Amino acid sequence: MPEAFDVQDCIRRVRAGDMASANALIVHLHPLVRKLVRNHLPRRESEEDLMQEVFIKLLQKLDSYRERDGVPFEHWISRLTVRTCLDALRAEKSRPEWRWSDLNEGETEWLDFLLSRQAEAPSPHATDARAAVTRLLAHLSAPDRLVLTLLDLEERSTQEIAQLTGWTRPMVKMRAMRARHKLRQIAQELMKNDFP
Amino acid sequence: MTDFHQRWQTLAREARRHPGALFEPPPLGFATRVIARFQETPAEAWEDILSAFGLRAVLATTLLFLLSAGFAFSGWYESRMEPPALVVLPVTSELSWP
Repeated sequence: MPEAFDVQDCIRRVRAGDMASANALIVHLHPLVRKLVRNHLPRRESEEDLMQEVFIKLLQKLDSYRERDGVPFEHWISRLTVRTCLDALRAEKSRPEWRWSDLNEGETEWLDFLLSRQAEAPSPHATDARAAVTRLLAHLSAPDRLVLTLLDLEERSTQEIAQLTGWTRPMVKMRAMRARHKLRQIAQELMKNDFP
Repeated sequence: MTDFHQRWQTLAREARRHPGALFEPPPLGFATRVIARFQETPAEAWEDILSAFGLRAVLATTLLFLLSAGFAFSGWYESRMEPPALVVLPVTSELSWP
C-alpha cells in the first residue's frame, strides 16, 4: 500500500532548499491546480504556461504560508491559483466575437432554451451544454466569469468564494446576480443581431 | 427566481456533468521546468517586503500614516483660519497725506 503523502513535511523540506521535495510537491498538487486552471483558463493562454506560473508563485511565496489549525494547505494553493487565474483573465483585453451560426446544433438548442425560444431542455448532452456555457462566460468580465464559474459550475458556497477571492460574501452575491443579468443581455443581444 | 435564472441553472447543471479532465499525470518534465524557471526568477523586492511583513501590516502602516497626515493637515489648516484681529490705532499725523 503506498504511503500517504505528508504535505507539511514536504513543505518543511522545500523550505530547507530540497528541490527533490519541491518536485514531489508539484506532482502531488498538479491534479488540483490543473482542475482549477482548466475551469478558469483565459482563451488565449496555454494551460501549461498558467500552471507553471501558479507553481512558481507557490515556490516563491511558500515562506509566507503558515500552517493553521483546520486550514489545509490545499485551501492556500486553491486561493493562490484562483487569484493567478483572475489576473490572467483580467489581462485578456478582447472579448470573443461569435455569431449564432458558429454554434453547433446542440449549443443552439441550449441557447434557444435559455432564451425561452424552446420550452423543453434539450436532450442531455453535457459536452454541448459545457460548450454553450463556456461561450457565454467568455463574454463576461474577469470577475463576473470567475464568480459564475465558482458558484454555478464548481458549486462552491459564497463563503468559500469569499475565502478564495478575498471578496466579502455580500460582494460575491451581488456580483453573481449582476453577472447573470449581464449573461442574459449578452444572449439576447446575440440573438437580436443574428435574428433581427 | 426568474425564468432565465431557472433555465441558466438547468444549463449549468448539465454542463457540470461534463467529465472534464480525468486523472492525467503532469506532462513529462513539467516539475523540472517549473523548478528551473523558479531558480532563474528572482523575487521582486516589493514582493519580498510584502512577504516578510505581511500585507495586513503594510495596510495598517498606511492607515496610520494617513491618519497622522490628516491630523497634521487639520492643525496646519486651522492655524491658517484664525479670525482677523482688529487693531485699533490712534489717529496720528503720520496717517495724513503729506
